[in-house]
Amino acid sequence: MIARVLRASFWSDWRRKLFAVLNVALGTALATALLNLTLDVGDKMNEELRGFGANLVIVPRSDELPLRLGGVDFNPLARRGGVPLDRLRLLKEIFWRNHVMAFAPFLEERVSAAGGAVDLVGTWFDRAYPVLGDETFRTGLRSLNPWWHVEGAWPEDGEVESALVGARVAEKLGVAAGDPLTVRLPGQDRDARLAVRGVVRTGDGEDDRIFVPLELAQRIRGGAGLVDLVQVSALTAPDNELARQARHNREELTTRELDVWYCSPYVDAIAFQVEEVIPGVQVKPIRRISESEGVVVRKIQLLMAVVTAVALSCSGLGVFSLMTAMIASRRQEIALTKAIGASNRLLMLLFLGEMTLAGVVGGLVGYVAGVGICQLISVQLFASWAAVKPGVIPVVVLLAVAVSLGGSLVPVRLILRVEPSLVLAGE
Amino acid sequence: MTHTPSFFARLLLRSLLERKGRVTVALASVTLGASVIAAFVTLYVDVGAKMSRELRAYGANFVVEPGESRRSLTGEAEQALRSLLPAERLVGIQALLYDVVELQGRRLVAAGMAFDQIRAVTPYWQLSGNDGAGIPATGCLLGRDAARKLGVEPGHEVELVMEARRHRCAVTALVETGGAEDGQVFLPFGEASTLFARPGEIDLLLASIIGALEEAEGLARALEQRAPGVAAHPILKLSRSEGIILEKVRAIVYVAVVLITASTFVSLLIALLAMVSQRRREIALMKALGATDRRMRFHFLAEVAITGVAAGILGLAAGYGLANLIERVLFATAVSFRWWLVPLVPAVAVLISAAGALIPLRMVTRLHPALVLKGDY
Repeated sequence: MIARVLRASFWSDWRRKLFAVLNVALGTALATALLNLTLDVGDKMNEELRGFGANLVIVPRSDELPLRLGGVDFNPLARRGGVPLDRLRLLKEIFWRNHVMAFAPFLEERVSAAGGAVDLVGTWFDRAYPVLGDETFRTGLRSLNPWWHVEGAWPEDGEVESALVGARVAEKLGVAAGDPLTVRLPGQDRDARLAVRGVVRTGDGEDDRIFVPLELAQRIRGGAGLVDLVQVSALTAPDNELARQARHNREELTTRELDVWYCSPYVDAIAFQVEEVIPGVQVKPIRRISESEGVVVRKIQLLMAVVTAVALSCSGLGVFSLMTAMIASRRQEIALTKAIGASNRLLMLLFLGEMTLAGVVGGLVGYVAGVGICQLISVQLFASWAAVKPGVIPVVVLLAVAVSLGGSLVPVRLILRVEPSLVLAGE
Repeated sequence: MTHTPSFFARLLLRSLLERKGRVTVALASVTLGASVIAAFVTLYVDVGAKMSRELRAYGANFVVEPGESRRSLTGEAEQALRSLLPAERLVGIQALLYDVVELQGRRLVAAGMAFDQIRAVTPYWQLSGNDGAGIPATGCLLGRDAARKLGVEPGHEVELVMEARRHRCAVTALVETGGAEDGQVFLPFGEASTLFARPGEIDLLLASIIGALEEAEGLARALEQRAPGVAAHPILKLSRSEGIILEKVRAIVYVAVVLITASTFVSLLIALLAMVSQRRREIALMKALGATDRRMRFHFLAEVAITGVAAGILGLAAGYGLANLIERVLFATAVSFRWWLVPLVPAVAVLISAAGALIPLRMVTRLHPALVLKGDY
C-alpha cells in the first residue's frame, strides 16, 4: 500500500520532477565536460610544447673536449667521430618509437663566402622518411622547429644548392630571400652557387649559420655516412621522484624500480634506450627544453585540475540549493506520505534515488557535451581532433553521481524536519 | 491602492525577515555564484602574467653582447639594463666572461659567472655531486662530460692555468645541461676576471625577463641607446614559442571560465525560480488584496536588490579568498585585489537574482488569484 502511494505520489507531476532532474543533469554535465577537457589538455599541451624544439641530442662519444668560443673553434683539427646516419632508422624502432616526433642530422663545415668565413650546416629540412609501420613519416629541421620565423620559404631537400640563411649571416653578407649566394667549398674545384630560399631569425646560435641540404655538406666532408650530431624531439613524461633518482644514481634502484623507469617515457629513459641501439654515441637530454617542459606541463595539469575541482564543487553546491528548494516545494506531499506511514528513511532513499538517476543522466550528457567541447578546442587551438576515450565514461558517470549525491546529502535531511500535522494543517 | 514609503519598507522588511530560512538559502546560493564568478574572472585576468612567470623555467630570453666595434661589455651595460626594467619584470641577469684555460694539461672553456644567478637565469641546470645542497657559493662547477674525460670527481681540487696565472679551486658540483656547458668549467666572476686578466670586462649578459616579445624588442632598442656599443636582442625562438603557449593556456582558461560561469548562472537561476514559485500563494494573496502587477514587480525587485547587493558584496569577499586560494596552490603567489570587480560582482548578482525572480513572477501573476488560493495550482 505504502509503496503504491509513494509511487503514485512521485510519479504525479512528473514533468516538474523531470525538470529538476534535468537541471541537476545540466550542472553535472558542465562539470563533466570540464573534466573531459582536463584529461585531454595535458596531453595536447605536452605535444604543443614540442614546438620549443628538440629535447634530445645524439653526439658521438669521444675523448676530445669541445673548444668552441664565440663562434670560433679552437680545436678544429679534432675530428670527433660521428653518428652513423643509417642507424637513425632505429629511432623509430625502439620501444618509444611513437614518442619520437621528429629528428634531424647536422653536419657542420666552415666555408668561405664573399663577406668572410661562415658556418655551413647540412641538415634535412622536411624529408619523407619511411619507417616501420608509418609510410608517411616526415622529419627534419622544420618538424623540429615548427614555430621558427622564416622570411621567404623553407628550402626543398631535393634542391641541393639551396639554403636557409641565419639572420645575422644574411646581414653580414647582404643577402635576402631570393638572392644567390656564392660560397667556396673546401676541397672542391668550383664554387657553389646557393639559392637563398629563406632567412631565419631565432635570436640564438642559428642566426650565425647557413642551413643547406645534408647532401651538400656531405660533398665537402666526403662520404662515410657520419654526421656531427642529431637532434631529436620526443614526447616525454614530466620527471618525478623516480626519474630524478634514476638520473643521479641508477645503480641504487631496485630491479622493479628500474623496470618501471625503463618502461616510462622519461627523457632519460628514452636517451638510455637510444644509446642502447646506436653504438658509439652519447644521447643527452637538452635540459633547457626537457626540464622546462616538465615544469610547464605540470603547471598546466595543476591548473586544469584546480579548475575542474572548483567546477565540480560548484555544481555540487548548485545541486544543494536546487535540492533545498525542491524539498521545500514538495513539503505537502512529503507530509502526506509521512502521515500515511512512510518512514523518513524510505523518503530519503527515494529522493537520493532520484538524484542518482539525475547523476547518471548528467554524467552521460556531460560526457557527450565534454567530447564536443573538447573537439572544438582541439580543432581551434591544436588543429587536430582529440582522442575520444570511451574508457572514461564509467569514471565520469561515477563522478557525476558523486557530485549529485554529495550535493543532496544535507538538504535531504530537511525531510526529517517536515512535521506532517503542521504542514497539512497549512501552517 | 497606494503605499506610503514606510508601509512599503515594512512590507519589504517583513517579507525578508519572516522567511529567514529561505532568504538565507537564496542569499547563500547567490553569494556562491558571485564568488565563483569573481574568482574565475580574477584567475582569467591573472593567468597570462602568472603563466609567463612560470614559463621563465626556460631561462634566459634576452641577450646583450658587445656591438660590432667593441671587444667586450662593461658593468655599465648591466646597470643600464637594470635601470630600464622594473624589478618585478626582471627575473635575473647573468654576466659571463669566457676564455680558454688549461686543466690538467687539457684545454677547455672556462666561464666566470655569478653562481647566485644560476637558479634565476638557467633554472634547468642539473647539478650533481653536491648531495642536493643547492647551488654552491664558492669553488668551481665542472661540466659533467669534462669531469668524465678529465677523471675529476666532485670534491677534488683542480688548478686552472692561463698563461702564467693559476687558480686553485675545489670542484663543488658537476653541471649537466645537454649543451656546450657539459664540457666547460665555471668559476665565480671575480676570480675569472683575475685569472683571465680582464678586469671590468663582460663578454655576454643573459637576462630572464617577463614580458611580451614586442616589449623585449623595445627594451633592446632602449638599451642600445642608453649604453652605446652594445647589441641587445631577445631570444626570439623562446619568446615566440612562449607567446604561442600563453595564448593557448589563456584560451583554455577562457573556455573553462565561460563554462563554469554558465553552469553557475544556470543552476542559480533554477534554484531561484524554484524559490519564487513556492511563493505563488503569497503572490496570489497580494494580488487578491489589490496589488497591481507593476507594484508586485517593484516589490520583488526591491527584495532582489537587497539580497543581490548583499550577496554580491559577500561573494566579492569570498571570491577574493577563493582566487587567493587557487593562485596560491597554482602559482604560490597572492592575488592583487581588482577594484573594478567591486561594482561588477554585485551588479551581476542583482541581475541573476532579478532574472530568477521576474520570470516566475510573470508566470504566477498570469494565473487567476482565486484558483491559486483555492489550491488548484
